[in-house]
Amino acid sequence: MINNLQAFHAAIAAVAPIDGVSGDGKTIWFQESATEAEKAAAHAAAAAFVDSTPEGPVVTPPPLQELPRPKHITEA
Amino acid sequence: MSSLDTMFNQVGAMIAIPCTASGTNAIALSPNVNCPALSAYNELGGYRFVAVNTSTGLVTAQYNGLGFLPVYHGDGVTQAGTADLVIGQQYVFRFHQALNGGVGGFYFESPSQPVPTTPWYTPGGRLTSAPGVPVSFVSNAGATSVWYAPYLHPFVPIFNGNNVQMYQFASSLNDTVGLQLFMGSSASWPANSAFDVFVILSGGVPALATVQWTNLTTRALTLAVFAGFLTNSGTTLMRTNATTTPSVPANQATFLGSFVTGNAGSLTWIFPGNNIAGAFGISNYYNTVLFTGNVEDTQALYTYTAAVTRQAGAHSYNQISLLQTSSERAVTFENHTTNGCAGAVSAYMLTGMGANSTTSNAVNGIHQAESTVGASACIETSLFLTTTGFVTVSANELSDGTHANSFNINSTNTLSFKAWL
Repeated sequence: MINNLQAFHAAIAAVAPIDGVSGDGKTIWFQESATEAEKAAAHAAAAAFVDSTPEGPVVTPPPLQELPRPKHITEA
Repeated sequence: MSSLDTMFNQVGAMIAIPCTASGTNAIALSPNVNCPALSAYNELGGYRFVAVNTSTGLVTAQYNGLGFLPVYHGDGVTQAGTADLVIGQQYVFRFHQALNGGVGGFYFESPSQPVPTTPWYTPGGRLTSAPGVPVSFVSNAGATSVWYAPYLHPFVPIFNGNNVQMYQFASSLNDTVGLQLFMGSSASWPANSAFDVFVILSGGVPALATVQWTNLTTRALTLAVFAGFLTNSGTTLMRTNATTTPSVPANQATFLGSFVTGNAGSLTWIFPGNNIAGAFGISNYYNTVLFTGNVEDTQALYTYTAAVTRQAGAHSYNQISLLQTSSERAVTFENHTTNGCAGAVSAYMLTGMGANSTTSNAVNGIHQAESTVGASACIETSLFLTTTGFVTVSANELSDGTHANSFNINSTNTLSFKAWL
């Protein structure tokens, strides 16, 4: 399944006139004007497409630090 | 000589004296020539006559000018009334002193009738693709027979040329299969054609017979209401098997419903499902059942840019076909889609439904982006049809011609229907 379907569509549309693409990357709907060379280029672009990860970049949280105890709290 | 007259009258008092009648509701009876002309009513004496009119109200009668008395049915209470006397038919009025509170009256003896007095009612079965299953929830992609299975009861009314009678179409009271029309993929029922189904008398017993429509939306044979149910309006050639087409006189074929063929001599009855189109090739006129179903498109989402209407996802399964034998019952379709507009102001998309068209919509819903962020939204459309014939409703879509709008983003777009079949 393509995560960034808009980017995938744009990558294919950049090399061939298309009406759309399927989210599983298996189907490209070409316009009637598409030539065989453009169709081949589109399939090549689909195969070379580098998809983004579904969750986006991994963010590592900073290490936990012990916070200073408020001064107005006293232990029993 | 007086003794002979007395004996003559005594004999006459023991029989039903032949009389001539006059009147419509007040029937005056005069003894025929050479028949006893009695001077008083005698207990259980009878008076036979042929009605010269059909009664139009409460009936009284008198014999030989002896005075009018009410005429009763066999219960001695219910007075004969409208249409109890039928012109040209023979009756006997028999005097009984205890009737009419002791004043006296007549029992009304009817002639035997070839016409059954039992009422008739609408056909009791259902046309089905599954033998013995009048309401089938099982898909059948290539049924080569049409069955008429008992449902409410195992009888059908048929006009046999003289009168209407209820005929039992099941071989026995525990027969669940009923009648079969075997088509066997025969070209006698051409592919993609609609047919009306009737029940007729063949050799005196009920049999199924068909008449082809002009096309999928035009019935060739005019139906006529006869005795309260639909029949053939004129003499018609009807097909009872691949090689036999008997001529059926007007009104002697009782209409049951219709079916449409897929391939020659077969029909389809398919419930929709995940990525499965629905197709219902049988429509009953009587004893209809409300069927429902959904085509859910579980395939991956997709983009589509063209401002050209097409079947949703270019998937041929996004449709439901069904036959309606009569426009009396509305059919409902609903299309639920979840889509995402491209990130551009004024980017838009439409989803809807087409009736017998995947290139134009009978009903549309639109979703348009208001910012460069884009947004997803649901579009729900409803289509109500009152149509006669075969119709295919498809989930359709189109885009704005520029932007890569996303369709079926949850892989749950659904086309639904409700129809009485």
